[in-house]
Amino acid sequence: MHTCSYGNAVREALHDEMLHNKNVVLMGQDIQSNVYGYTESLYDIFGAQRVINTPISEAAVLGTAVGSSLYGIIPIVDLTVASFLYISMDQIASIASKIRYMHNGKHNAQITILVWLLYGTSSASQHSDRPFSMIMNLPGIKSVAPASVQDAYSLIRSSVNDPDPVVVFLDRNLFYQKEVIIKSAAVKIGIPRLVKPGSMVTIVSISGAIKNSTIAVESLLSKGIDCELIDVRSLKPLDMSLIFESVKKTGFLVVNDLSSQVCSVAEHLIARCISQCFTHLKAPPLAFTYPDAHTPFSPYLESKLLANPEDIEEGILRLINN
Amino acid sequence: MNTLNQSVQLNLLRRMIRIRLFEEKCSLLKDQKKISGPIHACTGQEASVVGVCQALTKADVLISTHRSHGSNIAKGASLNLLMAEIFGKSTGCSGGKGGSMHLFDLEVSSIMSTAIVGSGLPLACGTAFAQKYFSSQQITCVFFGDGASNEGTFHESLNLATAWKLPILFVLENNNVAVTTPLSSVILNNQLSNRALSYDMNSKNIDGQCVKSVYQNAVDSINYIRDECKPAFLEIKVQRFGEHQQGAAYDKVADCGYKDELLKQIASYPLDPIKKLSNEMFEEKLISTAVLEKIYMEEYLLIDQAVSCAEQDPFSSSSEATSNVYSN
Repeated sequence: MHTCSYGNAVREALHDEMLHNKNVVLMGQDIQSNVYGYTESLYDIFGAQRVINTPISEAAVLGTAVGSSLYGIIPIVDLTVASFLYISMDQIASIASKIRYMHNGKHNAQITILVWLLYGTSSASQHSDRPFSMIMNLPGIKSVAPASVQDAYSLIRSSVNDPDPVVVFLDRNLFYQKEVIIKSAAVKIGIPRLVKPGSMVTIVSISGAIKNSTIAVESLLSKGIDCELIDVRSLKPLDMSLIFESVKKTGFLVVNDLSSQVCSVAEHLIARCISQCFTHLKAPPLAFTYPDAHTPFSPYLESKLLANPEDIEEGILRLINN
Repeated sequence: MNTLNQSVQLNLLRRMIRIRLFEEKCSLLKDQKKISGPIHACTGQEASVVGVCQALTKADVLISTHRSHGSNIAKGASLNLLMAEIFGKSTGCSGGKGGSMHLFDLEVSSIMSTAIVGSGLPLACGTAFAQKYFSSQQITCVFFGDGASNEGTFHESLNLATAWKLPILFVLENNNVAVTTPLSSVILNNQLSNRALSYDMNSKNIDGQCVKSVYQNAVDSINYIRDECKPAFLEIKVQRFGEHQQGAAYDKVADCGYKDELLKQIASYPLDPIKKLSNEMFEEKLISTAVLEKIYMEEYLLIDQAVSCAEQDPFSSSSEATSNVYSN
């Protein structure tokens, strides 16, 4: 049990997995001397055979990961930025997602793909995507989005050990967040996290939206509104029982999401809740998402895209007062 | 070039005949509407798959394309497994979930046939990576066409294979056409083995109508790969005797000037690889008409049996439609 930052938790998870199993191999661009520090000293400890700087060939590297996983390697591919999923997308969609199904179970691709979400860092549109929906829509691919330091550690370890391909969405905005973590506290893929129990409003939060969600929840509590805050931490699979129970209890559903509005994770979760909890709803569910727009460079402009705590609070007050 | 002994030549001949008869049977089944989906026959290209695959060991990995029947058969895959899959039956290699374009047989290390052009090359880098990591002495062989040489994954994979010294045999079957697009209309230099040279890869260009030449060059390249632990490239010039695919109303779509071009090409092409080898074997008194006929009969019977089994086998249960998407 020790205090750790989110970024360091990533590093420790990679380290611990590589220590635990000598067939775990880490591949990515610039990981031997990583700019951000989340692979620091792994190269010194595990060497060039297991910590591999790849050329800028995302498709080939991803296919290499899948192929090697068929013959005993447990590869972790660091694609660095979530937006770089696109350039390896055919290997993910046509090979990784389908290899088990097409061979009726005779193959499985135990690969882990790590990507960082860089929204909010003035990285402009080509670096700031949050492509959860695109990945969630692929049968055969699992995905997680840890929003706590503990989950960053535990979910990476669960993902590496999962026999199926898992995309791990890591949020750069949480990089320096610090928490006490317990390494032995394993977290299963697919189970959401109850951040704060409450009785009046259900807030479901995705990835780094947890920051603004938490601030809004505290402010609302001081006004006598007791929210139940749930962090999904897994995208697919996602066991909806906790969320359904919560919505049936409170009657109000708010989803705080980073996806772009159309086919967003929020819209998906809301549709499922309406389908299961319709008669319990006291008001239409409320979604906070990015609009159907790209991310501008200017920090002032970018700040207009994501719901801030005041927007969330205002939206919830309007919801319950109507 | 060493002379190959009689049993080796007979084996090469038999395998090519097996593939030819298999493809002709599939074509007939398609005409009779007994099988669904597109069939991509490799008729005319038998020498390249047989010559290469017979130079591989059982444990060497094979990755192929949508034109998957020939390479699988050449590697030694079970005809029953393949035919049942083409019929979409539960006894097929994928339980009917893959079909003609995705045949495989793990018993002979034919691990995947992938239809997205160029998508098999990265996969080959992967299996080869593992083979090298575990010092297995095995190699990976990946087949693809001239069309694939323009995909990004082709270039990425060749670079990766040379930079990481991966034990891969890259086999480009150049039949000068991608679906209906002549190669010369989309590239300047049709000597595609040059592309591998530009990555400093051991690269050869072979006449794909001579199975003996393919076989011997493949043996040399494979020895090189095993000895040096570096990749090698074979460009094999072949002639596709038929359309890109049969089925899915393709005949109507392909009714254009291209078809005359193809027929002209076929007519002008020196020789059928099967006729070429059997003629040479006749001349060298390594085979008689009786033996040749016997081979044809035996192979025809094997294929006929595979069809019978496939026709009788059941389809998978409906729950199989959504099974094996995930491991758990």
